[in-house]
Amino acid sequence: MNTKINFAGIEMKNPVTVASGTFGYGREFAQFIDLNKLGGIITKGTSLKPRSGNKPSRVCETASGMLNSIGLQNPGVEYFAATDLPWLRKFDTAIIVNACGSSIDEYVDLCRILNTLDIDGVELNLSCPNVKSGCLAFGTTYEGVKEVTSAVRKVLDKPLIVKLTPNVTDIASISKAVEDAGADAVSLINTLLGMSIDIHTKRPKLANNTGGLSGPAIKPVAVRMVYQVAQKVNIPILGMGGIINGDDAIEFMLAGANAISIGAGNFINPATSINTISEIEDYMKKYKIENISDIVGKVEMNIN
Amino acid sequence: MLKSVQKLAKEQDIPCQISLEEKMGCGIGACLGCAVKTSNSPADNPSYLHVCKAGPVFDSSTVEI
Repeated sequence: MNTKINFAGIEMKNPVTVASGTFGYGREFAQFIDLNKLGGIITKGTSLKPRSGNKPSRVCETASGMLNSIGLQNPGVEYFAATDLPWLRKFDTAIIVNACGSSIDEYVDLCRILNTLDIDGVELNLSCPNVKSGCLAFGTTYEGVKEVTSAVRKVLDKPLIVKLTPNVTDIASISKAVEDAGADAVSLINTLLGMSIDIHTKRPKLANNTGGLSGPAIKPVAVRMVYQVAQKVNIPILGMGGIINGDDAIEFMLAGANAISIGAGNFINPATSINTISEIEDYMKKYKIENISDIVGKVEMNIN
Repeated sequence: MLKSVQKLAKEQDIPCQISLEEKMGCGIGACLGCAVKTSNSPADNPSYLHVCKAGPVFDSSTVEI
């Protein structure tokens, strides 16, 4: 039984990664789980300069999910390179840095630095719904995604994954921009823009008014989008959105995801990622699957 | 109430600790959801502590609530 995969040139011992923004730089979770068991770690969104993030309240619970508006709080790439990266490198797992910026120049400058670091790949964040400039501004049109991805591609030799937002009319056509710009893979979905109101204060529960919805509530939307993107592009897909166990992970892989990420699931149980790996193995045993890659895209659609 | 206690302690120069609540995602310092602004950081470049890890009990002079 083989759970190893090669995702966009990145060797992983299994297809399970942890999603950006839900796992920090790994230190907090290392108290609970063995990071060596993970296929990969996608770091907190990291920018060229430190960012302080949005005003609190930043999170709230919703039915089968949560809203967040953290606003990309992070210590900046220099601090990451000096402190968190050497620590992360002690573990035998792929390290992928989620990169965010406010302008094309900033994305390019950041990726120039990332290209010199001992990391396995970059996940370009074109999809954070909680910051005023950049990110979503590029991520919602074919032209925007293509322009920033092409610019980054010129300075980045490492595997380039582009993370897309679901807050668009046609995600498949936008994923095509990622492929056309020469990126190695696409990851989806980021959070769905949402809002929740405290009926007693009559104010939104988040200080930023709106935030990104994640958790099991968004899983059917994410599975549908992964399927649609898989029909459109030939580059590999990192699928995510509400995965909390092995069954969910298999569902994404059948829809066309080559690897998956656990996001909000890490908050329910810090061992969700590790449990998911063993549950994938259980499924492989049950259905006598030799290689985990064999199930990718194997959904059998109903013919109507 | 915490705000009033914080204000009173400052006026009377009384050492004071306050226990804060904020909605949390992970509860272990990874998601940065439960932010509280430090009192000595500027509004245009705020610095945040997190209730789950730095708190929940803070010296009342160190945080803005």
